[in-house]
Amino acid sequence: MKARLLCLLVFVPLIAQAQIALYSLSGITPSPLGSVYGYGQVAAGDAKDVRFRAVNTGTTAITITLIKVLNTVGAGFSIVNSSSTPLGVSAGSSVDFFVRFSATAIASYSGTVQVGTVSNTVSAILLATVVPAATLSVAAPCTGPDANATISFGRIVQGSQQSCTISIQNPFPQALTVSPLTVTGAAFTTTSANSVTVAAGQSASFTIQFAPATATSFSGTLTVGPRTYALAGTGFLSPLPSLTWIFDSKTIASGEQHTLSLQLSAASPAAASGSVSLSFVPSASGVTNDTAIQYVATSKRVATFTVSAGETAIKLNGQPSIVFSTGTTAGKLTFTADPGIYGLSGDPSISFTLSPSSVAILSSGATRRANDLDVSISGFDNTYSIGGMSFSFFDRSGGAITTIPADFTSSFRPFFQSQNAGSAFLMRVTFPVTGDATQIGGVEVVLNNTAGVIRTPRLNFP
Amino acid sequence: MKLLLLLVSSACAWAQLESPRIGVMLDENSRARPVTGVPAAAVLGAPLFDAAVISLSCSTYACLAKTESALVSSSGETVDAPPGAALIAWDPGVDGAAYVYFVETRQLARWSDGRLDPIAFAPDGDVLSLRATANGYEYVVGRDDDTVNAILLLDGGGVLSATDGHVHLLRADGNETDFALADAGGFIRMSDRYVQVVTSSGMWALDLDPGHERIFLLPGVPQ
Repeated sequence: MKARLLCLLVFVPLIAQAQIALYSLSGITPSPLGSVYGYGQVAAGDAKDVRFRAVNTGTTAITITLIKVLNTVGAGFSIVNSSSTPLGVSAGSSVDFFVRFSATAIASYSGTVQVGTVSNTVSAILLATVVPAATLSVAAPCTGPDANATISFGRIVQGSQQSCTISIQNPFPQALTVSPLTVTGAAFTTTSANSVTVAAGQSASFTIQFAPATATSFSGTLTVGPRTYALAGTGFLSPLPSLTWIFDSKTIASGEQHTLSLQLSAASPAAASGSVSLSFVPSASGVTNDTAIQYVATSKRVATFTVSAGETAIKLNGQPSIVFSTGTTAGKLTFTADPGIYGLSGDPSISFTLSPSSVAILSSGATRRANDLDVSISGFDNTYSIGGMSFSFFDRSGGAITTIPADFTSSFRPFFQSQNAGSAFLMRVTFPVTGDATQIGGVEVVLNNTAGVIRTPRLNFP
Repeated sequence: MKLLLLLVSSACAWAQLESPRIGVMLDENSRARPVTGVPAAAVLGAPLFDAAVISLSCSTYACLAKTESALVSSSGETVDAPPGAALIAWDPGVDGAAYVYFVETRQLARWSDGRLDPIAFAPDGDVLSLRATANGYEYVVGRDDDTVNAILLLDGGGVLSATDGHVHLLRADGNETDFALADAGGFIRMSDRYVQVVTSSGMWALDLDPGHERIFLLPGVPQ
């Protein structure tokens, strides 16, 4: 009894100081969570995530052992994207977690979110209502809605107008009143009423006009009942003349550096700026990228361009030309100009094919270590298929001794998989020798890949 | 037939694979960074040293860097050193040994086994470059009428020099190669094979391997 009393004396102050306060976050702004939090109306089948924060308002660290949601009416609430408990939280610190609501049945739902330690639990009631919602589709030239629920109107000349037709479908067996049906945004307007009733299984259409008054990016929103979509479009000034792409060579292959300069086909009507990006699609199986393909001076794949009014010469990163590397991977290399707020006459892109080629040998050598012969070869294989090779050994007087075939595919494959900067390799092959290794004077190596065969010069052992 | 017995089959041969290493460069932010890959498709690695580097010289297997107040090796050794730049010449005859000339204080020392041992040295001018020889070292001093922007004495007797618009490679055997390159103002030994050429418009590298001489742009640090 004495011992238990002592424990209470020790622990009670700790428990009293270990407090949890719950907040909900709208963006990055936390709001104290009351006893009830409402998700509002959620379209059937949609998911709505709300971020909550549990703050340790005490003066000592706590361990959160419970982050849980109980569905009391219906089954729609769940914890997502949260760390697993137990979670240590120091005084004044916090942990965030997300509660998702998603359901398909048209009804009202409730649940309880609970956060606690072994001795202290706080909770709040969660409410949501699932409502029927029309589905939406967009006709060309607009695109979307994409994964971020954005409908894009693209790029048009400032002062002009683009109309897009939006269709809303009612998949339900009853008529559906879509309300509100509203558009916001300085450059976006609609002639649609604020509400529309769509018969069961039918659809209704309306248009949204995008009319950029200035050369800049515009955004807005389209609210269709419980769903909200982002509207995006860009206005640009009069188009620039078409581009002339100038490379220092007509042939471009892997393992090279080249210089690009750009000109307009006629004088620029205004001072303009934008970017020229470089993209690459590998053709080798299983290869996703080659980070050595880049503008060399900046190690990036995007360069700025500027042109003065009345000029044709374009500066790239402030220079008359720019050097790029073709990397060591076969594939398609594409340069694309983005003129920013300006339009561009003609094709904004140009592409090259970096053709598959036989293994490129940059250096090779042969050395002797006691009873081992070492052969080293540095190079690259833009097909990533190297592995099969053969080694022809010669005696001191140049007579052939033997040819040894080898297949190092199982060595190259994981090596390439561990690289993301291309197919460059330094290979050291060691041959254990029995007998007098000094009688072996040289070796020639034949390297195979899917594009061809290449042979080293005679490599002499010292 | 007897020779056939010398070699074992390919089943006993093994291959080691790694990324080829060009050397170590000094980037525009004074950080020493390894450069890997092949010359025209090289990529930058993370800085080798914590501190900003004033002078750098690398062999194929090691680097020596002069920071404001210390000489640091890539194997982790650090010794206090006079302020300012240093000229570093690796001794090809002794692994890991080098001559180090401190420009501001005009002191010469020999680096070996993590130690700097002073050497009596009284140059007859401003020392521009230094190299180890079989008998010790040799150096080149500047003259008032020099038109050379930078000079580097190469192992084995060659000389690399930069004048307006050109980098000139003179081999010990008298062979010469010229590279058109504007504003070359300094050389840094990246490895036994490659030399970094510092220009106002970027960092270049020169491949010194006989028969493979070429100049290429080194990758810059992403901003």
